[in-house]
Amino acid sequence: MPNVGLDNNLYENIVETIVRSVRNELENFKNQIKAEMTENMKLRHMIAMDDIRNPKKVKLESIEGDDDGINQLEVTMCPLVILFYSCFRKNPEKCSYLKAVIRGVLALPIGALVNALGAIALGAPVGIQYFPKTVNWSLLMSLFTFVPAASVFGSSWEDWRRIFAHTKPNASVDYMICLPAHGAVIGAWFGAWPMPLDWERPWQEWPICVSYGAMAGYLITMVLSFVLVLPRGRQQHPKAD
Amino acid sequence: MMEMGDWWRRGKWRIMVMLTMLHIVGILIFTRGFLLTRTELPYYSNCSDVSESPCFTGQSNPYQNQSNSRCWTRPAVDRLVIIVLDALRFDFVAPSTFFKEPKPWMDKLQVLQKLASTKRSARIFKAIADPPTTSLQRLKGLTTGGLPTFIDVGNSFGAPAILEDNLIHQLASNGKRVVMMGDDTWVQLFPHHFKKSYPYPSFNVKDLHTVDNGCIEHLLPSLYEEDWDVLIAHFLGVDHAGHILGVDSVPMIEKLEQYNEILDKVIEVLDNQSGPGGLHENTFLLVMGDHGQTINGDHGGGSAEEVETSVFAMSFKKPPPTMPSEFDTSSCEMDLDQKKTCISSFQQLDFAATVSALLGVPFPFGSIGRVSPELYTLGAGTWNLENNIEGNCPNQKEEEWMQNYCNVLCINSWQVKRYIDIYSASSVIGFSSEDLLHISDMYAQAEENWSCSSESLLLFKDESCYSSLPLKRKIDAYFKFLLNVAELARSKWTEFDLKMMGIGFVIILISLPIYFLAMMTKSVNGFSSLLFGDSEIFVKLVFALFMVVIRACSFLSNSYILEEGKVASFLLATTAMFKLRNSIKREKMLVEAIVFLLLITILRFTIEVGLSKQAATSLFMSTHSSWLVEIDPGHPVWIYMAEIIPILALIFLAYLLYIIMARSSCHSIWKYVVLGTILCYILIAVHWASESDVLSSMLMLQGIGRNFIPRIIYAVGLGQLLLLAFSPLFHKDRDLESKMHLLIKTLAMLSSCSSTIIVLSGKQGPLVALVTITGGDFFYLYILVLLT
Repeated sequence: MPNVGLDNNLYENIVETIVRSVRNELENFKNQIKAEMTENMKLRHMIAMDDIRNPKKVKLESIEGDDDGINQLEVTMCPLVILFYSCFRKNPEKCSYLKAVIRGVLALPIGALVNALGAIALGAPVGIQYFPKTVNWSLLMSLFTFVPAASVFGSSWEDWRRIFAHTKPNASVDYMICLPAHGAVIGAWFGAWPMPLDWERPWQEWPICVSYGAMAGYLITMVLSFVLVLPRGRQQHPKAD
Repeated sequence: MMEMGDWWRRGKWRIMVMLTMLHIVGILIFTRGFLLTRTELPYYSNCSDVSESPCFTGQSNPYQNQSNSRCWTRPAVDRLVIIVLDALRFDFVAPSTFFKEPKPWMDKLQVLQKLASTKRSARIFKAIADPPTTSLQRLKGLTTGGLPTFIDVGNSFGAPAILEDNLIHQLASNGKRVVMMGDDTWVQLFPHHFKKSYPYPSFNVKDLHTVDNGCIEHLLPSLYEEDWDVLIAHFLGVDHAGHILGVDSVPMIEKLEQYNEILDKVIEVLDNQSGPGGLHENTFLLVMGDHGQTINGDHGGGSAEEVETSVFAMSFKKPPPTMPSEFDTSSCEMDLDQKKTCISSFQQLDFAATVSALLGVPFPFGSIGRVSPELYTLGAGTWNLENNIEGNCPNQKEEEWMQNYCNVLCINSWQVKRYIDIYSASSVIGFSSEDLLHISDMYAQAEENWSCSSESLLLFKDESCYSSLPLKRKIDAYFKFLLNVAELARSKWTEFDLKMMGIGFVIILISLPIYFLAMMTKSVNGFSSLLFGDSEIFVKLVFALFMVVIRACSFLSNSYILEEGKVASFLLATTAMFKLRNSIKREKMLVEAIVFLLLITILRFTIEVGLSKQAATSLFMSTHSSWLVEIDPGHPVWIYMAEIIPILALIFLAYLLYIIMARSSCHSIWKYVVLGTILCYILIAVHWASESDVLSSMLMLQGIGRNFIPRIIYAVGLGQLLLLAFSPLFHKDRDLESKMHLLIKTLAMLSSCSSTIIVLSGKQGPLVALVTITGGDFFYLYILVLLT
């Protein structure tokens, strides 16, 4: 097992990047909530004015607003995640930084496909009007789950199996892949719970609450993984010396 | 396994038997309290039935000579207009002075309030519905006059159409022409009964206007037509507005104001034509809600807000009706214009019987309602009784009214008694014998001494007027009987028996620690190592428990009910994914896991297609029926297939069982059990053949009793279960480990339950059983692969 020791510089780098991305995400989240609230108010108002001859149109508009939020999040997150995780590629001697980045980019659509299939098996709606939403959501999920692993491990089946099937992370970077990925999936799974309720709220539509669940799970487990990794990094540091 | 055998050999099977008995007793007691089931009876009331009743003995029927067209009761109204406003709360109709404080949604239907306070021929009723207060169950309750539960055991599993005897069926078969407009649920419930129908889709809750506008479009023109006897218009706007925005909202108030306008127009049209010789000379108008709603617009439960709805009744006959004051139970208040408004109370249960009595059609067979005195008077209180007036009796009119009403009640009580008798004779879970005895007693009391006719009353004649006292007493006796029956039926069909449920639950709970103790003491190592030794098994166990707990919890929230199927397939797919993860982990059975996941995905889509079809039947099928069903549903081949396929499947099942029995060499007890099941299957096949029209006419099977065979099957099933429960007493198993033996035992267990389940689940039963067996077969293969 290669020892992926983190030296101090890199360490600060990580923290800085994470802080930046978290800030980004929070801001996006805030914007989304604001946008949703105004949409919601608009919807309520329109219903109150008895102007709901086209309820579908109003609903679609409100959801498209949300899609934009997720889109922005992806666009900002994607390069960050790929570039960040590519720093910790396995066997850095044999595999160049660029190669790791390309692996990450390639994994994005593949992971999206796997995630989308999983979502459909679990009951995600299928149809032309849902297609862009499903694509958006699955790209986001792919970013949380597949891309980091692909950047770090490439196509090593053994490592993938160790992380995703056995859940046995060894090195620090393993923790940072394994925990957030599981967190995102479990968060999305719990995020789907309010969907079948008959509350008739706009955020119950696919994939809004699922995305929120995934993001919440991702954030929580990201923080958790750092809490777990930090003491390890300190312990490993003198050893690496 | 060794220890289990050891324990077995030491003769400790007593614990096992005791536990089984404990479980059986617990489950029986629990279901006795919990399962609110009602059996639908396939019988229908006929005009000629009434001759069996004690109400017309010989010549005592005063009206027989007058009109031959008379059926059960004398028709009192010629035409009936029923306007159903879905989810009409009581306080939408009643004046706000009846409540503690006025709310913005009150006093919007002012037409009705004004008429109720100024005219004697109009009145507002507070109608009490019975839970469940969902539209479908309520429509069923209104038309059958019974108390529908969520599970009505009968022939209509899955299909929404009402096969029980009901008001609409009686109207149609007695030559009344029924026109329906509005909510398409009616058309699903009564597919062939309407002369004309204008259904509009009801499943889009957000749509406030389609159904209502459709109703308005057809309602007013129809009032000028002559080609109907009963008109039903079902408005949905208030229900939908409540569901989206709640009661206290702008659209709700707009909807009510819109209804006010429409009702104003309707009443104007009816009034204009109500003169002698007019179209609506003898028309009766009913504006009613099917159930109420809470402030948030929910309904379904039994709270006062959901249960209380209202009925506005108005007769256009002249002169206005009179009625003895002792039967008037109304309460009066001043309304906003300082006019006296009286409001009476009315049970929705009584609707079917009262309307049948007014229109003169037979009461629905399963009706347990009473002809409501006040509503009946509004329609029927004004017969031309001049020819009977002999002069100087001050309360002659009241007398006539009471005599007539007494006659109606006599028929009513006889019909209810007939239903209760036949129901308790033919249903598995009937009424208790003391209750039946009590009811019979009361019926006998009501019947004894006097008949309602004037002849027997002559005995009590004082001078030239009849004494109304015996009549009054007789009516009271009938009331007592009918109210008791209704109370009994409510306690049976609408209230969970909490005491029973609690006792059953506690018994089952008690059995759990005993189980645990038995397992812990007898196989300490085996059990605990099984649970805690292997972390993987522990994780799997926790996961499985978690899934089951979620599934169970999702039943607690009524918000999940609509999407229950989706929740189930979601959890199932989660399990499949967990399985896939495990098989990747072990690098075993990868293909099977993927196929499992794929199958669940396919299942999910088929469920969705099925649901969407069901929801859109009326809208979708009416326009696209041609390509959905290639063969015309009425085609004889189709009918024949539908009748014969379940029977073939059943025979195939019996054949499978026989093959397995023939191949295995095992104990005789198990063989008897399976043989009993095969016998049951044959009986079921005969039963179905005798029920279906096509086959019975061919095979001459009609003579076999309809209720006889199911009862035999239940008895055999119970016998099999008892045999299985006590079988350890008869012989001690030395070879419990033998795989074949275990298989046969399982088979016997399953087969002993299967016949009862198939009878209860109707014709799709054997098909479901076949599919399950195939699934079980695969499961068995799966375990074999796992073990090796």
